[in-house]
Amino acid sequence: MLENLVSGLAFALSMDALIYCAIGVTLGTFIGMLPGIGPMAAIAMLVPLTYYVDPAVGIIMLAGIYYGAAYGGSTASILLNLPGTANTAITCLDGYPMTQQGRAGIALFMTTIASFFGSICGLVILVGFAPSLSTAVLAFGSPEYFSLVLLGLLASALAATDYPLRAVAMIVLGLLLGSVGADQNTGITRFTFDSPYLYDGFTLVAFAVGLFGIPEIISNVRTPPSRIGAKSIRLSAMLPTREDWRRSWLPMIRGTSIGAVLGALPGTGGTLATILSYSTEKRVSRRPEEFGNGAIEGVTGPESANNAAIQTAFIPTLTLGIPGDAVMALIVATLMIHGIQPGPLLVSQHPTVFWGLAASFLVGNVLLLILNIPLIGLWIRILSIPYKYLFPAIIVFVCIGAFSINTSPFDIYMVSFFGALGYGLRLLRCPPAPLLMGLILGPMLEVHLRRALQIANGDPLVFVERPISAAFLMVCVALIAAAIVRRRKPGRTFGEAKA
Amino acid sequence: MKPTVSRNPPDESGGEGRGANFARMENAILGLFLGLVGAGAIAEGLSLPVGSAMRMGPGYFPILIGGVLVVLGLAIALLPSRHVAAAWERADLARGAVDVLAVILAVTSFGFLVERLGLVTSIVAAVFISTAPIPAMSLRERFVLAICLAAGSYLIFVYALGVSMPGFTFNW
Repeated sequence: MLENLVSGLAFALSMDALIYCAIGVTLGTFIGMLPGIGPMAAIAMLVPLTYYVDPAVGIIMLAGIYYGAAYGGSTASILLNLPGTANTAITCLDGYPMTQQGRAGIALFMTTIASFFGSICGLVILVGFAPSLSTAVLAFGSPEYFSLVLLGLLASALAATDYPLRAVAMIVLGLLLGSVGADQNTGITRFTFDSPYLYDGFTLVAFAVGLFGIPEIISNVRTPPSRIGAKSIRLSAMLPTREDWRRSWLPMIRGTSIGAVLGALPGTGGTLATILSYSTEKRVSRRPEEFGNGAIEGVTGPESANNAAIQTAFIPTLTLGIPGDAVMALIVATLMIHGIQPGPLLVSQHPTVFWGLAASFLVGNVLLLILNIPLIGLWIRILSIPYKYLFPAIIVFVCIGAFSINTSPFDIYMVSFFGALGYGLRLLRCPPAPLLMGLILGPMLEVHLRRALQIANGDPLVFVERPISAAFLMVCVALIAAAIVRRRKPGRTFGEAKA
Repeated sequence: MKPTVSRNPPDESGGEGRGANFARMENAILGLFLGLVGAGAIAEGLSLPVGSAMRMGPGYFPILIGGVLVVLGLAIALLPSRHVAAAWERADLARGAVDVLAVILAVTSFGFLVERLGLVTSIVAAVFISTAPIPAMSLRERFVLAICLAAGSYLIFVYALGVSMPGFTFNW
């Protein structure tokens, strides 16, 4: 394993990988700080760029955007009280009060340290567990995969939503959109309206950019997200006191453990981990009244949880091919575009991808440490670019990116179409992430359903007769039951009045 | 990623009845949409070989999924809703519609023009259309922005990355 890690490190430190890793984390930090465009849209915009490089290098860049955005997102939370990404929303609770108390520099410094700590621990777990897990899941057959995909879809949709029914409906709509194009078995086309453009289904990038990027732009055209003013932060004001360190190290360890476990489970991910870490810190604290008023534990705990979760989320993504959230789903899809099938064979068949990626996390996190501590002032200045200049630029890049996939304007029209659809669904409070997960995992679900039933002579009981598959399905049922119970609990304001 | 929709916060002073009505309307629209898509999927699936559970044809999965979608659409439309929706104010709707139109038209026009008039013209069009809802932006500002973007995009995408796109062309 050590020699694999060394060769991975050698790859991650090669010129190409290093440059793209740096581009990824820098862009990620930038995107994360901008509360107007999420890492999802940014990654989708950059998928076409990976066609021009080695797939491993491309994935290193995309992953860099993801964890870079986690660092940048906390900066926006602390300085602006606006979460740059959903996973850093919790950081606002105590990070922004620290800014109001003039302790912004310390909050930023400790956040970066906590994120770095969480990431590195998560990375160690990833490297330790992924290869052995790969061997374990080699025994999985189609029934197990079907149930696991179903579990991944349901868990990611139901984990942290106010609208479980809508989330499930979005998965199903996604599954349907994923079946557009030629049927995998017979080649008969479905839902293509005789258009040759739809033979391979919807172009993933156009779909993702339309669904995530365009609605963000539309909602921010007139009401630009507030930005960091002309505040400047000196390095000397960033150094935490001994007291800050003393209060932070335990929350960092607890947060990392919570994040590492939740990240590795299919479908839960960072947001839930940050919420759980925050409530844990508040419960164990001897000064719970300080939470919400600038308690450093409320910043460092969730931040390490978030970053640890991001790293361990790569375990199910790479070894099972089952992504935990929409960003991971996009990474899986990108690997498949390059002909690399994520799954139990990935580690042995594509060692450069796995070990190179793992090693690049180390490199990327060190780069982020530099970007976020000594260079923070530079970021604050860059972020003062007005949104009215930024969003036309984003639109242009989206268009060029979509065009370059197949050198065809059809994909640009698809961006328009899914942009309008995405905006409409957003107005109706439908979460877009389950839609994308459904689209990406739909073909996989269908293949395994078909194969499992074929082997079992059409008997659907096969899914409950195989113990591992039955266990996954039981968790699915439990998730649905929990969602129904939550729906029936208080908060029902006028449901009774109608009935 | 973020639940920020540019609308008014839930109108709680206006009484729950009003918000509940909007919520019901939203549920009905969404339920109808999902139901129609599901029904369409079933229709398309039936027009293809369906097969059996043992030997699924290309129509089997769409019919299955379409059926689930119809049920979910009905559930969304008919189940009592828990939330109070924000009121749909006429002025907000009008402003929102202009913003949607500006962004969507900017993207579509880029697609329409890029092979006909080239990259530079499409970028100028996209910038002018997308910034149309912002009155505080001067003509000169828009023009400078468009030129900078066009030059930058040409350098990065065409020159450095080799995306095959003409800078200028006439190909109507």
